[in-house]
Amino acid sequence: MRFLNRNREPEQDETPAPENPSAGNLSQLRLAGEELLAAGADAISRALSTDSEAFLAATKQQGGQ
Amino acid sequence: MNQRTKQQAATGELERERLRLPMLCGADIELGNFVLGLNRLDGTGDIASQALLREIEGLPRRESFRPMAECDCSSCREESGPQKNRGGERGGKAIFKGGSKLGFKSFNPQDWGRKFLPANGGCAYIDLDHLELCLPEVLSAYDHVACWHAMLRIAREAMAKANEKLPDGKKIQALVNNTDGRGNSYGSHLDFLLTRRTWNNIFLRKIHYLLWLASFQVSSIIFTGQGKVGSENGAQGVAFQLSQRADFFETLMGTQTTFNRPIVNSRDEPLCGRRSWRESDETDEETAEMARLHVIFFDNTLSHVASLLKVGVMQIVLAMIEAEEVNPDLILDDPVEAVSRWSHDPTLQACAQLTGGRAVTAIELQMLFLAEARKFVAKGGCEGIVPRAEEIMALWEDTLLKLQAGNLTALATRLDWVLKLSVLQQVMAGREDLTWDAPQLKHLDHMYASLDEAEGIYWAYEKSGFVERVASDERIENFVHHPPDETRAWARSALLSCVEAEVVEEVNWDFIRFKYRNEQNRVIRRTLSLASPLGFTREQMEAIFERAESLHELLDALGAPPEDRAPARKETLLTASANGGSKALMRLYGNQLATWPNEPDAELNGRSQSFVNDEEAIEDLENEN
Repeated sequence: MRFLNRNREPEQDETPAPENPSAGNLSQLRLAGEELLAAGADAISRALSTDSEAFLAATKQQGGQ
Repeated sequence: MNQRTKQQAATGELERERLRLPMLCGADIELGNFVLGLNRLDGTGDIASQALLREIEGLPRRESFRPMAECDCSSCREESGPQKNRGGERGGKAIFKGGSKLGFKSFNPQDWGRKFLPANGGCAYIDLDHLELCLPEVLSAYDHVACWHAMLRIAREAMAKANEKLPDGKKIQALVNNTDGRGNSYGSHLDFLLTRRTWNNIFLRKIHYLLWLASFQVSSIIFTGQGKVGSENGAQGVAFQLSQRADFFETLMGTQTTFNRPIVNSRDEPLCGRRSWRESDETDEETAEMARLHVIFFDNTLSHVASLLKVGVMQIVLAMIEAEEVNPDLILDDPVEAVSRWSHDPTLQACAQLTGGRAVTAIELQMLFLAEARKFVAKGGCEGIVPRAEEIMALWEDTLLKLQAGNLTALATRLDWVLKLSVLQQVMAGREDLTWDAPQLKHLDHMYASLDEAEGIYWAYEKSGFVERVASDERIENFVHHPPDETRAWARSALLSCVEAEVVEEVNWDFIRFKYRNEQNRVIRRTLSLASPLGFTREQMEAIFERAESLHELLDALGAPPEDRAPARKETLLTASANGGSKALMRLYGNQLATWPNEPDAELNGRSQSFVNDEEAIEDLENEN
């Protein structure tokens, strides 16, 4: 019977999400600048190694709500 | 009226006055989207958005539009068959060819190709030239955060699939921000269920409620802003500002959303069974008391805590308005001026004036709102209205205290603008050649919000464990595949999941119309109203779904009328136009179909109304059908 064929999990997780291990860790909250930079180093260097002006020329949108 | 009736009437009125509704929340995410490696003078947003939408599985809003929709999801492919010509890369524009062939709905450039997602009950469509993702309705701000990220995952998967089909050297990029950096802004909308009385109080009766809400919103950018390099829309130059959207707010209140943007949007579209409260002919007792506040003010946020506070604190503040606990001492003299002033000052020292004359910083004003809210929550004002209000309050207070203490380092884990600013400052510290007006800085500003997990700077911090989370990966993934339990999104998802696509003739937020053959082999249409956003929950519906042996039986059990009445005249006209146009329609409106005005909804409504008033045209149309 197709109405029962839905692939639904019987229960959703109603408990609060577990806290991120880093959330209460003051040493991580107070990351020094270099450490902060390191966490995003790959993404940052990838952006900086591409042609920013060409990228910005491509972003044009019509706008919206 | 006898005494008893008077008492009953008075009691009823009092009950209505006291009615308070759970702060159900919906939301839209508008994405910046374009094709890298493809240069066109007018941009590539249309190509990118269509390519993205194609890869999202869903049921088109109206069956009538499926054959012409430039959609490549499985349901559309099945509908159209293998012989269908899907058009070129600008295929979506083909809907305009041949005059009115596709009818009026297709002419709305701000709502094109909408498809509802059977998986979670949300939807996706194209607004002008960008993909817009609509979250299923939720009750909890925590679930909002999870659904928000779930919809981003759906869009990211679509982007990966779309990119696989592009030729070498071309790539679709999608940004979860609100401006292209060239003066064009797109929104991030929230929707809150309110009582009609509260909506009327805000917009029609108690204007200080509106000002109070606006004052809260503009001061909240200290935790809701995504941050932005530079200024736009004629605003004074600035290196970095808190909000993506602040430069674009030019008025206090209004129905418009794409120009002279208002801080508080007064669009009255309840999406609970009636187009507007003024359409009393479709009123039912329950949903007559319901209204929707459409909020266009906030930024797209990625950080979990910022997203949680954006919705959760709004829920608390709106609950206070609903309870009519509004302290007019907190009203800004000029919220429009204040939002720009505060956004342009990342030191958070700028002051704006309250109507009483006192000058306050945004933090100080938020602290005043917090104090009012604390009293309200302490006496139970949010019980049954805002889930986990105490936790939201604690996080709000802690965040404000850290802002007050200038502890921005700690807040980089919670607030997008702080994380973005920290990253940019560190990059500049290592590159003396980079100044705030360098294109590399604006590039990084955009890439902070890239949807691409490998390229987006935010995602790097989330993956590293730096970002404070309020929604687990499991919870987010759950909402990729399943709807929220506690709202009508559950029934919408369940219905769209358990029937064949071809029997769904039309779907929208508050109803689904089916067309199928009954036991007598006659084609019938049946519409199930999903008018109450708070109804049709898993708890209410699941047993009914389990018992039903057929769609017909299910609709019986859900209370759908046995068969739809003949469409109303206005609907007949719109359907007629959608199903292949009409000589009469073209005779009347052919010239107007060639161009589209700035406010399509308003124009469309007005035009529809004039159809109804034109009896001769109506008869012509009905005869043509």
